[in-house]
Order: sequence, then C-alpha cells, then structure tokens
Amino acid sequence: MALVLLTAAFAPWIAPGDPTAMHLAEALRPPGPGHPAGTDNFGRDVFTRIVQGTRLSIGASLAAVAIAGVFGTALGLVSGYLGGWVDLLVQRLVDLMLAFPGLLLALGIVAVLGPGLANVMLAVGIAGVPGFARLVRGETLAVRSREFVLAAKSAGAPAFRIVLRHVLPNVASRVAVVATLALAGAILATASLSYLGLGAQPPTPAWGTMLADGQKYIFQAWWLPTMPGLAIAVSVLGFNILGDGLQDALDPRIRRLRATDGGGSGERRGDGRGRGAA
Amino acid sequence: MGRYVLARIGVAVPTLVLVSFCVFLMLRLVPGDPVRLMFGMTPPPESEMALLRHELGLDEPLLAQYAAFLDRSLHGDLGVSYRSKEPVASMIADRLPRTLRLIGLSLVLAALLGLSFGILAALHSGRWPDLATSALAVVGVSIPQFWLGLMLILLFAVRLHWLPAAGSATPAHAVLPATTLALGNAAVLARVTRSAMVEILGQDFVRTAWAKGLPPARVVGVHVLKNVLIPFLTLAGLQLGDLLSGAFVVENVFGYAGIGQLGVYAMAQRDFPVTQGVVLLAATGYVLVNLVVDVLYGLVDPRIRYDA
Repeated sequence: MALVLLTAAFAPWIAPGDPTAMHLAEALRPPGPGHPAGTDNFGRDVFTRIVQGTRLSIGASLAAVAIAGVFGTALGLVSGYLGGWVDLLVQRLVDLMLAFPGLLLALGIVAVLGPGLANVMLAVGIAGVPGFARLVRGETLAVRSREFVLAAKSAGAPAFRIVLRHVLPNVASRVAVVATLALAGAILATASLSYLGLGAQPPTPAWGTMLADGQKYIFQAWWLPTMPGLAIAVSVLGFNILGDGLQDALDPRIRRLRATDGGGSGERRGDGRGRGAA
Repeated sequence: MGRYVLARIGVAVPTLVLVSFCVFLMLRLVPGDPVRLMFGMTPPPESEMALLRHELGLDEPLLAQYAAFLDRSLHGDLGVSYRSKEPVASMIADRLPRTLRLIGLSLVLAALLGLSFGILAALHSGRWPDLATSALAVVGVSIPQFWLGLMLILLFAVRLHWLPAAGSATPAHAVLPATTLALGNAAVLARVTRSAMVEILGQDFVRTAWAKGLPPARVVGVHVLKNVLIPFLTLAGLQLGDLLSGAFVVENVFGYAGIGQLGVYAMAQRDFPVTQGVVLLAATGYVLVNLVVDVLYGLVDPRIRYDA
C-alpha cells in the first residue's frame, strides 16, 4: 500500500516519460528491457502509463472516499445526535440508497451526470455516503448517552459544539478504519466504471480505461489487459489488508476474538466497505 | 409470523415506491431537454419537439408525470428506446433469462465453493488449510471482476482453447462469466462459513456429540452444518445484489447479451428509457430478494421475528 501511495506521489520521477507519447514502430512489444510492462498498440510504454495512471486512479478514489466520508459522517452525526424526525428522514434516505445494489447506484448516477472521470468520482462518492452515515449514526447513538456528553450538555454547550468537540473525536477512529476499507472498494468501483467506458476516456492512462483498451488485443498481447489489472489488484489488496489490520488494532473486542479463534473477519465487512465495491 | 411478514412488506412497499420515483427523476435530473436528448445530434424543428413534449406528457406537473410513469411501468410499458426505437420491455424480456441463468449459476457455484472452503478452513483452524483459505479469500475480494474475467479468457480460451472467449449463444458461453462472478462471492461466503463454524464447533452440544462417539461426518454434517446454514443462507441471499451489479460488469467483459450489457450500453449511449427500465428492474428485484431473505430468515430463526 505504501508502494502504491509513493508511486502516486512520485510518479513523474519513477516513470518520467510521456504516457501518451506514441512510437508506432515499437507497437505491441512484450515486456522486456526498456519496456518492463511491454508496449501497447500505439507503442506507448505500459509501465509509464500504469505509474502515471496511479495518480489518477488513486486520486479519484481518494476524492470519492472523501466525499462519502464527509457527507456520510455529517449525516450520521446529525441523525444520531438529534434523533426524532431528522433521524427518521436521514434513515429513510439511507435505506433508499441502500435499496440499489452496490455498483448500480453509482452506475445510475453516472447515467444522469454523463460519462467522465469527475462524474465517476462523484457517483462513487455519493454511493458510499449511506455506508458511512449508518456506521456513524450507530456510533453517535452509543456516545450520546455517555457522561462527558451529558456533562457538556448540562453545562449549556450548544449541540453543534458538543457534536464537533465530544462526539466526532470518539467516532473518528472507526470512520478512519472504514475509510481505508472504503478506499479499496472505491478503487474497484472507479476502475469498473472506467472499464465500462463511463469514466476517464482514452488516451487518459486510468487503469480501468487501459484494461478496456487492452482487452481488444488479448489474443496478440497478453500483457495489455494483465498489467493494469495487477496494479488495481495490488492496490485494493493493500488497502483491504491495512483496513483489516487497523480494525483489529483499534477494536479490542475483535482483537480478543482473534486471539481465541484465530481469525475470521469477513462478516464485519458489511459495515462500510460494501458500498461501492464492485 | 403473519405480523412479521406484514411488517417486512410494510417496509418494502414504500421503498419500492421511492425507488421508482428516483428512477423516474433520473431523466428529469439530466441537464437539458429530454426530447432533445431523444434525437441526439440531429434535432427536428422546435414545433415538432413541442408536439412530442405534449404527447409524452412532459408539459404536465411533475407528480402527474410520475403517476403516469408508475401506471405505465406497472402495466409493463417501459417506453421506447431512443436509439433502436424498440419497446424497452421487450428488449429486457429478450435478455433477462440469460442474466437470470448467469446469476443462478454463479450463486450455486459461489455457495458450493464458499461452503467447502469454509468448512475445510474451520476444521483445520489455525493450520495451513485455514491460512491458505484466509489468504485466498482476501485475494478473492480484492481482484477486480473484469480483470479476473480477462485472465480466465486468457487461460481457458486463448491458451487452452477449452471454452469460448465471448458471446452468449450456447450454455458453454455461460461457464466463464459465471465463474468470474462466483469467485469473489465465494471468498466472502468462505470467510463467513469459517467463522460461524469455528464458533459452533466450540459449543457444548457439539462437544456432547463428539463425546457420544458419533462419527465425524455425522457431527459436522448434521449438528454443525445445520447451524452454519442460517448465517450462510442469509448472506448468500443478500449476495444476489452483488451478483446483480457484478453482472453489469461481467456481461460486458464476455460480450454476454444480458440486461447488464444492455444497461451499460444504454448508459454510454444516453438512451434513458432503456437505462431507466434496467435500473428499475434491477433495484426492484433487489428489494424483493431482500424481502424474501428477511422472511426466510424469520422462518428459520424465530428469535428474529420476535425482536422485530
């Protein structure tokens, strides 16, 4: 995962070439010296495109998770802390969004907004909101009746201040864990939508777009669909493992369970990562 | 039980109404004029478009338009494709059986693989089959479906020539897409089966069964498995939603002519009646499946329905 983030940060130094520069004489070269991941049908270096595409793909996924995290957390805090009709309204909205299976919600939003990487980012972000909202609402309900919140309330602190100063810090660690897992889901979702032709358009080196382009040459050039897919799989795997690790480290209850039964965290997945995962 | 079922239906029906309203709003939220969108780059004269706007009821109040949309949808009229000019309902009806076959096959495959690997891991908890299954499961949920599909095409169609690479003409064409769709879900099911089974293996009634000297096949097959099946079946049912959205991707990888391929093509072409039809069908199907799963869950586990 560190490798993926470092690659995104230092992409222009790792692979300094132009990812869209064509060299038709060198088209469809297999991986070898000079071209570690081969070249595509326009003779563009696949390694350069993957490395420079890291920024786009990871950047778009980070933005999507930021949108989901900020709006989801805000909705969850308001809904959980205020309760009453606000809670009811937010929960109906969340239920409604969860009535669309995973990727379909993002697909529907992109259908309305039109194809393009920015719209995909927004769609994956919006589709991720209900996961965060539900989680944060649950955590807020638990924190709301704790002594320090009651003390702040009786001291006359306004609701806005209590939520920001006392409730939010207590739910932040769970949000961070779920955001890591959600990032894995967002990478998959943005790549899926780009693969389907609804995201970044060629010649932009986004991983999903490269894979879709590479599929046309699957019979002549195995590396074209293989290499970008490896980049996606490694990134998603990295964030999944980090998320699982963080969850175990921050949740003593799960750490205890781990100690007694030796593993098994699959069912906890449902809480935040489900949305947006392809 | 009757009250429990009614309560679940009471939640599902308003959700369906809201879902249909959202799908109806899709076309209204698109920037620009829906009638102009119908004609793409070559719009007819404004007078003709105004007439069409009136015929389609686009000059009516929003709620009246929604009522008409709902009425037409309930009568199986989902409009006419902007591009092919075919009725959307018949386009969907042509392709739906193929998607259902794909999803059904994937579900069976995912359930068999998930259950087998989950049981294997739980019976060897902490040893290498367990660790290998856990590792495979993490990899399984991390691999993008479209990439897995392409890798299966490379191996089984390009290298080994065992199966067709693309298309949907014969049953053999469904094998690779169904496998692609199943593997990620099998990984999740294996993890759940494993952790449910580890928990049940440690309970008193299982210890008693061992102490009575029952053969292992009977202890695992009857006493343990029966209890593992409750969480397993629930999750398998809920995974139908994942399979459904997975079908949108996988059908496109394999050029498999189902509703997922139709839906994505319509989205890319901005063919809104087809997009609306497919999204409405998929979301309705998902809500109904969730309802059935909830009811079945209440049937197998009475605690659920008393809590509700």
